[in-house]
Amino acid sequence: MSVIAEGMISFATKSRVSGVVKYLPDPQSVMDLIQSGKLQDHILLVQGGTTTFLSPALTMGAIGVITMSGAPESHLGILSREFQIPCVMTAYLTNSESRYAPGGDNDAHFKEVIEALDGKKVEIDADDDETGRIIAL
Amino acid sequence: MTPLNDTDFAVLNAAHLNKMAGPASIAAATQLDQGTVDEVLDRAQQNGLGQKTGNQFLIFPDGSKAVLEYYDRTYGELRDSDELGAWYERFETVNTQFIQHITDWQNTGGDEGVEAKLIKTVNRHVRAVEKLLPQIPRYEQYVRRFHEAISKVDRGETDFVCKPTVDSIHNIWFEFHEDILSVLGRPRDTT
Repeated sequence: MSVIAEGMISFATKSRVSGVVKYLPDPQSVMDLIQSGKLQDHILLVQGGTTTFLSPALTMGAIGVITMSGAPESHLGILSREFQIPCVMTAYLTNSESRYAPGGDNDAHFKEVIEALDGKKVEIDADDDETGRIIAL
Repeated sequence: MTPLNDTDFAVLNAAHLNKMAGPASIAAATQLDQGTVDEVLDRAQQNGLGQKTGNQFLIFPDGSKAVLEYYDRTYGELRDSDELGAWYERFETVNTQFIQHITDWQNTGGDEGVEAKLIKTVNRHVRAVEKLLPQIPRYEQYVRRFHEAISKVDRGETDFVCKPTVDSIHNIWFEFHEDILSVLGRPRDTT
């Protein structure tokens, strides 16, 4: 097991969740996942903290969330605390220098994170005051 | 697709903004009777704009598209208003304060001092929304909902601060933010 990505946690929790990372780029992908009945098999990867189309997945029992931008104060951070869904925000790859740059062109960064995480079986470790870890299983 | 009429818009916009609303909460938010809401949602489902799932109505991308077309049609002229643009700039500052207060409230387990600051910020926002009523009369519903949620929090019903499954202050605020962005025709910053 190795830590492949880190980020800010929206809240500290001893709850360890695991699943296959699934990147959700748009509302349709969220609908498709909900309707597949396999929502709880996945850790959900989305772009940002105001990715509002993720909300139905949160109410229907999503087990864990990773974002590539956004802060714990964002809408998604607030919701994850209310639903007690472990959430690692503005995640970056531990083997890369690439980081999210607020206001910058982050397309290459997002692409790199998606390629590294999407489809991987991982565990979220959010049992820390600040840093959340994505562990490859 | 036939353009949405005002009632269809009110119902589907509530589903679009909330993302996890059910028929009952849509009726409460819009103040439309339940029969009307059910009829609009049934028709929307038949037309492929959304689907009832459990107690929720999931709006599909085509449903959101129809809602956004109504915004474009109805608020096109308002988008040129410097006054509204300036209003929104002020709102962004208040919004930053608001989400920080909510986060602090959650992280302190509902600290009373934080709650007082939060309510003060919301009251200030409500007064600002009231200034938009001549241009956007339906915003009266936000004013009413904020007042109701604040009253409940004042009575100790703290679920109405930010619990996602009730008509909480955070839910109403979030919906309002989505709404005003749609009125202005601006995309949401996804950060």
